[in-house]
Amino acid sequence: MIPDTARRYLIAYDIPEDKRRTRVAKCLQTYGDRVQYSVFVVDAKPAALVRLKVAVGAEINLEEDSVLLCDLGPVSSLEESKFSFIGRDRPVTPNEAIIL
Amino acid sequence: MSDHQATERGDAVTISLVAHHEFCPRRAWLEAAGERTDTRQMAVGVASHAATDDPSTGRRDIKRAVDVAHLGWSYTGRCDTIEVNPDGSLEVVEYKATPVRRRTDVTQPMRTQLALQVAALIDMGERVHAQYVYFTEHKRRVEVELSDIDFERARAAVEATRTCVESDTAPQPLEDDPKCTRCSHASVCLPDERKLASIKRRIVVADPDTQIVHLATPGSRAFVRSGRMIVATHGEEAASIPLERVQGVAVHGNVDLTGGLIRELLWRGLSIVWCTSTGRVVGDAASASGPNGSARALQYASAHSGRLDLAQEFVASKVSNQATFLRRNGNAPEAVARLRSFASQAADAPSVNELLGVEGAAAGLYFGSFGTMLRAPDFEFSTRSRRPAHDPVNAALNYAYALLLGDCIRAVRSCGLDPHAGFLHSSNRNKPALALDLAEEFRAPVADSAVVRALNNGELRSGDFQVNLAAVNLTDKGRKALIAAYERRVSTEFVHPTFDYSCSWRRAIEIQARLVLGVLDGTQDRYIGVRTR
Ligand code: SF4
Repeated sequence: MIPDTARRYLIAYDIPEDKRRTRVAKCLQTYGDRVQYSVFVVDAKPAALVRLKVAVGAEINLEEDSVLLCDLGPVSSLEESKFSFIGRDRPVTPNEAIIL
Repeated sequence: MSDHQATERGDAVTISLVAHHEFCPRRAWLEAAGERTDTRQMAVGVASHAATDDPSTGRRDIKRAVDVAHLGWSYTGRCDTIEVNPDGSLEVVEYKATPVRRRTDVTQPMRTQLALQVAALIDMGERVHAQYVYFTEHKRRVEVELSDIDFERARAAVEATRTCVESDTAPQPLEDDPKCTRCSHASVCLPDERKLASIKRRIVVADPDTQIVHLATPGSRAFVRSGRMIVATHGEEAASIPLERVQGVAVHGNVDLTGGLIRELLWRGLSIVWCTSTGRVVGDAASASGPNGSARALQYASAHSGRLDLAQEFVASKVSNQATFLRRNGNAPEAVARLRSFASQAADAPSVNELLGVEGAAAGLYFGSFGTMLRAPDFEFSTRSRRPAHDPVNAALNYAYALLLGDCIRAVRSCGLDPHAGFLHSSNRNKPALALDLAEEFRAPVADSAVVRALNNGELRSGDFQVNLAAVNLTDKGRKALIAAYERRVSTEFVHPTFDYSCSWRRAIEIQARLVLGVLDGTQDRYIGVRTR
């Protein structure tokens, strides 16, 4: 069976209509972090990914819009170096306890 | 699996419960008790019913999510899709997403489910012309012919399901059944752990990989906006966390949560624990749809009549873990040996009173040697002082115990038990007695260990404490350092001594809570505490 561990996804979208684009962005915000104008990083367990796909699928126009999901592998095995920025970096929610 | 509302015992059986029962009676029982898991299978089940993209049905009159009921056979349910023909007769379509199945086979549970939907519609006075299963992955619709045998079978399945979910005791888990590896409820059922023996096959990696959010900056405020939890300090946004990543919230001291955030967290089934800035747990909030109401009734009855066996295990494993921790980190071989003998005395103490006596004597001995574990010259430890703490070490211990208690409350709540009815701690002292019981075996390996490491590594320094008259407390900075040290400890993996698989200490706390539940609901003969070696 598919192990129930979180994987990191890079999600990018191409949505010409403003309203739908805003709604997709709002929906992705619940799952992960916006790292570029139309690019998100989402760490999700299989269950959360299914929910995400359904939620995004319900917002877009299947003929016109396109959402790309790129599986970057299990979160636990990701090396820091795989993720870097030139210029300003954008925070990604860490995978450990959050102490504020 | 089309209706996901909680089904209470005594209520009509639902079609989805019957489907669970066809798979495994225990799964139906757990589902009826309100146990929910966040697994891919569950999400796919919910999602398949949201699928509405069958292009071939575009022109007809289609009704979706239709509630049906059969008065005679006494069950309720929901049809995904019903198509209405021009002559008024109906066609029932059940959507199925079956990613594991390569072929579009109609299984027996699917036939039963359709038969129940059709029987209910007929009972409601409708005419059903045909019924289908629509396989969403294959985009294929398969017609299913139903015979009298199918209806008879379905009726019997409703009765079997009713008998199962109305029973007072949980059905035993299946033994070594391959079904369990495909079961959405395995992480709460723990089919292999019931034997209390080493486990050869591993069903699920069930460690949560979402996070506890600790709010520990005085004067900050947390609220919800666009699916994210925002934390603002002095009017400035300090952090924004996607809600799907939050596993629970711990509030430390003077921090405000808005009503909207509390409601959102509870709606998601997450818990909130509040404690003071000196580490006293003030209270917690839990979702109303927590599972296992009937298990709580059993818990109260057992707590009232007493369960010496559970109390013995809590103390025996606590003292045994104190001995191990002291042997590994301190220098007091005699105390270790005497703690070992206290541990075996606790295991067969004749009454709770004597048990408390043994526990007290062991604590005196353990804390008498606690100082031998501290390497940093700044810190000294003479005696354990609860409140107020007389020295930094005691202040740190108090705080770590509050953090541990928070995790125990969360674990006890997540399996539907009540933190307030315990077996060792008295339930009439306004204390979360069961959570305190469960905390005992984790004190040394989790809380004490986090404190000793933080002090010895210099993560906590003397400047991280402040003195107010006779009382010593952590500063804001010190508190955050200790929370970080505790979190690192509780998410460390270790080999569970009973089951021989590795899991995090936080998951172990929940596993132990579920073993207590198993003893109470009759799925298991006895409880074994975690004893580190
Ligand atoms: S894990 Fe196994 S025993 Fe437990 S409910 Fe699922 S199928 Fe039944």
